[in-house]
Amino acid sequence: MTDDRALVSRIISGDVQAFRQLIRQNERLVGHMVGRLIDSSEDREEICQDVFMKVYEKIGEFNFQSQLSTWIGTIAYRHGINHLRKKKIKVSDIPDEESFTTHFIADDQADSLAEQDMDDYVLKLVDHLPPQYKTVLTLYHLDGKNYTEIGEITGMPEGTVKNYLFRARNLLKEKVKKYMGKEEWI
Amino acid sequence: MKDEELQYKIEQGDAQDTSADAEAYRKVFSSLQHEPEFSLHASFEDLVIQRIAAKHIKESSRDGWWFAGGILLFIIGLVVAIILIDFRPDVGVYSFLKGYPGLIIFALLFILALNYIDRKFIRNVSH
Repeated sequence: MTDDRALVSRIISGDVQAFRQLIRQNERLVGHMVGRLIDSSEDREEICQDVFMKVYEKIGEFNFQSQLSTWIGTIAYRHGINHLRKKKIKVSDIPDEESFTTHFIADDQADSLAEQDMDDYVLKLVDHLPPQYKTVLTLYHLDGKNYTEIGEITGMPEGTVKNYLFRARNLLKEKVKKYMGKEEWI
Repeated sequence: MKDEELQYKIEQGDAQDTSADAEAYRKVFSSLQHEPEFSLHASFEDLVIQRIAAKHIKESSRDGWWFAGGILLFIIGLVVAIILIDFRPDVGVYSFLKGYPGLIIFALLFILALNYIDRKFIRNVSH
């Protein structure tokens, strides 16, 4: 947090190198979040730039109530979600659990995409999940954020974060199990 | 065992459970650690800094135009007001001073003297 304060204060005083440092420290997180939410590769790069432009514009309003990276993650998440809304992609509702689970497990779109590599296969599956699930999975597994931090970034209650994480991983597990041909027949 | 507990166990590194569910979770967790294909441009930092600089230039140029526009509007307003009210420059109530030129000269000298005393003595003492 002390480092955050020093960095923010340098950026506010106009130190460009400090802002470059901020970008370097957070580009991975922003890239992960935007990369997961947005399909178009041209849009991704531009949205990531927009996120850091916004960070630069609003850095004076950062109140140190959270980690700087969490605050930047919030901006990235909002930018991603706003972009999806602009593209008329529904993000507000998580589909009905039962029907979505059935559809997701039965859907074999991803199966044909990456039959050889399990990592690719799982990442393709993640792409087919609702945006909230993708975000929670990415923040937790890739960026090492805890439930509280994910809640701060996404604005979801901690219980919802846990629930989405559980459901998303459960869906992936079911699909992988099916893929591996080890599903137990009941 | 509930699925939630199994997720927790696998996350903690449990290697005992060899059920299909446990194996599948291990693969899922391992794959989720992998970086996605998308990565930012090598000169991403520079691109952001360039965009910020360009935005600053655009904003300062826009501010300049607003300022010039404001001045222009003010002048137009002033001219319109002068024409509408048929304004004539007039010293008005101060015209009586015309009869007392000595008073004006005295006032100016008095102010200059006060200023001199202030700079020469009062400020020097306080420093």
